[in-house]
Amino acid sequence: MDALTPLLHGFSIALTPLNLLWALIGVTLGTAVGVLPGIGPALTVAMLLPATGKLDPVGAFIMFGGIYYGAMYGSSTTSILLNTPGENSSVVTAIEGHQMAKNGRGAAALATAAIGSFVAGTLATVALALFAPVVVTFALEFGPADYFALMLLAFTTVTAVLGSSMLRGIVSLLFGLAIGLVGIDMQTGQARLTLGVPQLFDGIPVVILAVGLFAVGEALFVVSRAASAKDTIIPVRGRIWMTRNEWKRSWKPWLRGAAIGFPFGTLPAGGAEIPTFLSYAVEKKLSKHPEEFGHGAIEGVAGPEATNNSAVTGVLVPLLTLGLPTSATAAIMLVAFQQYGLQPGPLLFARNPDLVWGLIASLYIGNVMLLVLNLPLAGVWVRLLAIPQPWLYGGILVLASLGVYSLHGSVFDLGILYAAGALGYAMRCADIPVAPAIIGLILGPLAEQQFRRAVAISQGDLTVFFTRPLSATILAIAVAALLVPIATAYWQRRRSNQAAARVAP
Amino acid sequence: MSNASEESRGSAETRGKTSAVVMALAIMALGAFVAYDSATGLTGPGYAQVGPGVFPVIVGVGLLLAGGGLLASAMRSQWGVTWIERPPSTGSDPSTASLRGLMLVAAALVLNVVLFAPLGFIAASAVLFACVSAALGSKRFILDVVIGVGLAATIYIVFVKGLGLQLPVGDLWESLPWTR
Repeated sequence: MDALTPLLHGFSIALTPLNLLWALIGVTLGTAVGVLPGIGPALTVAMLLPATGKLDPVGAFIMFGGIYYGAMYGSSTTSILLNTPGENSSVVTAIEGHQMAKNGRGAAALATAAIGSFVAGTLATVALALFAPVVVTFALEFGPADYFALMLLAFTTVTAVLGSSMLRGIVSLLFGLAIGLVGIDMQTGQARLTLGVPQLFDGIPVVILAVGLFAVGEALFVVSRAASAKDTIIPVRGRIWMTRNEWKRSWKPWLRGAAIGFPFGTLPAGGAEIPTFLSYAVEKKLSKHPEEFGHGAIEGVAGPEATNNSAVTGVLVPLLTLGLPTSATAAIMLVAFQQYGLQPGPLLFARNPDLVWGLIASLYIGNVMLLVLNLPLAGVWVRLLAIPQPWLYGGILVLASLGVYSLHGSVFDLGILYAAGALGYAMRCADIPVAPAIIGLILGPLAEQQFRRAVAISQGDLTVFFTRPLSATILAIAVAALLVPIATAYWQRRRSNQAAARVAP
Repeated sequence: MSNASEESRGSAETRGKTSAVVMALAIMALGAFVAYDSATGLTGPGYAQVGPGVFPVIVGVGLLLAGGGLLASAMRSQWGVTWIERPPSTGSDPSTASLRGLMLVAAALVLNVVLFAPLGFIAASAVLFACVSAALGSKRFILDVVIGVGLAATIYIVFVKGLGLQLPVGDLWESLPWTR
């Protein structure tokens, strides 16, 4: 394996003072948005895109990467001390972590989360460095039909996995696909769905839609629900460091978390959320103290927190090697690549080794920075939550408007932003998940392009998708991803129909 | 949840149902429009085999079908839309407070589009900031405005002087004689 040479080259890039600074800014911002509920890494990267357009892409991606996994560290802090997960991927952490904080072991919970994130993040980065070049050699063989099948797989898994109902996931995805169609068709130069409005000929920029759906939609939603219960922050007290026993109970969940998270991150299944639930279930099953679960079992913090960091690194594998985003943040990062005129995929490794390996090397450095930032300073980060909620959302809306305006210097874009915000609010009220729409919006045009390319190559023969073994296999998995949940739901409903009718209509 | 929300569940459910039916119908209408507009307005594929209309028609029909599915689950009350939720046990009539807040933010967003060019980034942002803060229950309007101005001015300096982005100064201020 000569994977070491490009990685060393990557370190020589990531260790320059300027790139170290970008990494530090990224992980600091990431921790902050992880701590704050309501804003996540996807939104943060989207809002920063216009401002970073003139930066060197290597530095920008080092910063974006830092925001993504920094948010995983930050969100554990609020889960534990506040019982309010900053991100979805730390929902599980709150179960045991908050109990630990109530029992006076908050410091230990924070420590096992931060050290576990560090261990898993570092191991996953090793896996990324080893695994990505292998995928690249494999991906060079991919044709348009295979890419189309892969994107279809991403569509089906994202809709099946995210949110509470598959139907609503599909609606969200189709929304995204429909909005992605607006504008001039690249192959024939015809305007589609523009209603004759010239500002729409270039399409609706993903960034505007993402910021609108996430930031403005969330702000409107929070206002419509007003402030309900006041959260109480549990101060960090008791012994600061983890005990011997806690170390002993933590290290295996860390390693298992790293092993569970990475492969799940590489799959098109919506990022870091699912594997954390899996990790929690595994730890509960394997624990020698299953009775402690629900009352502050340290394994239930160590496992999921290691898992989500590992998954985030795994997400980078399909993003960098195939150009396939598997989470909302990765989708926004794909837009960032497009902004710089870069096409992620197998050729990225050959054409932009500085960027790819600089980014991978910076993950190691960022993880060290995050350990230092989070372990002793967890109490400081929690203070961020002292920002009054009205000012927090006021500031978010001002920043969102700023980011979108500076994209093209157009007030019309602000109108689109707020319209997208109204849509995001309506979707939240209707319990329709937002992430599939973002994935559909970004992958839709690419999927159509690959589809038309594949059929053009096959001269109109639509069977090309089923005769190529690779695309046929992927399509079969995609169909299974849609049908298996429907079938299991159907059987479960049949079995429990009478019982359910009696208990709750 | 508390008893208050238990009591109001019945009426809230019927309200949610109407909205859900309307939303499902809107999604179906959108799907029909996407499919119709693309099936009629675009020319054929030429050499490319698959023309520009194929994907939009698939997406439009998909939206139509999925909207139909939503309509079915809305009719069976399996899915509802809750526009406004009253927080449990706060104040006299919290749901009107939420509605008023929502209206205020909506107005603030429209106002921001209108004021952005004439008043400039700093003043327009301060108005937006203060309105959103008020909508979320802040009672200190003057302080909110001051903080909004401070925030916007800081952003302005960092982004315009530091990163070289263009933000509007405001036509109004530029037309004043002493700012030239």
